[in-house]
Amino acid sequence: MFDSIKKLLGGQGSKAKKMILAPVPGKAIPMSEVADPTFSQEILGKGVAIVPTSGTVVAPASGKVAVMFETKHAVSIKTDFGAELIVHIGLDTVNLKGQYFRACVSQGDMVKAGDVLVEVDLEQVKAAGYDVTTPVIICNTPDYPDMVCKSGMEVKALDPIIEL
Amino acid sequence: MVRRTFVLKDPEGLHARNSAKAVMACRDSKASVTLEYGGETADGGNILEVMSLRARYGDEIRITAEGEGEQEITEEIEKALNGIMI
Repeated sequence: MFDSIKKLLGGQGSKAKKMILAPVPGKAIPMSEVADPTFSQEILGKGVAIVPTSGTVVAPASGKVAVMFETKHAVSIKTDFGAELIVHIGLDTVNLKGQYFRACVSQGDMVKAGDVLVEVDLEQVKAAGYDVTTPVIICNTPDYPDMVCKSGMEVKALDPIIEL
Repeated sequence: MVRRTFVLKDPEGLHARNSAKAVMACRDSKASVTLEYGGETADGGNILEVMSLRARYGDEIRITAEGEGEQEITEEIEKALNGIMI
């Protein structure tokens, strides 16, 4: 009965949890384990990082491509429900200036969860000396006080990693 | 109100790390801050808006700040975006 009252009042109980999905398969790790303070200190926001096993990076939710970096190492999506997220492929990979990355969408495009955003040659990026850990960050973290970040498990692409 | 125009000297332009520093400085400041480049305006406290300006090395970015600490915040943003430790 309490649940039904909460639903009537339009509280949290009536809202389906919004899910952010894994953009790549691999091992999901807590942001605190990422070897870059910009991410590990959650300066950009909270989230989950994935140590990827495939270089096909897909949209973790449906929405609009808010930013596609010229260097294609990071892409941000404003989701249909208002979350602002960044998928940052590898650490310090801005320095590769787009080498080994191929963008499959453009800034301003509408995408569905699972659409391919970027193809990256992980082996080449690793050979160039970069850590390929891929943080998925919710930039408007303060809008989601009940955010749940899941880590410590192997994920397939499109497995849920963050509940908002 | 303070306006300041500066040339972006980070070789990689606006990217996650320098934008994050600037955005954190804006969130810590009581002044309201906007950045402008290429006819687009970004809320200084919103990382997505800041990065979506896509300014590159050598581009001129205009900062407008209004409120307590307006002078300081414009200087901090310039330093943050140009990779000078703050």
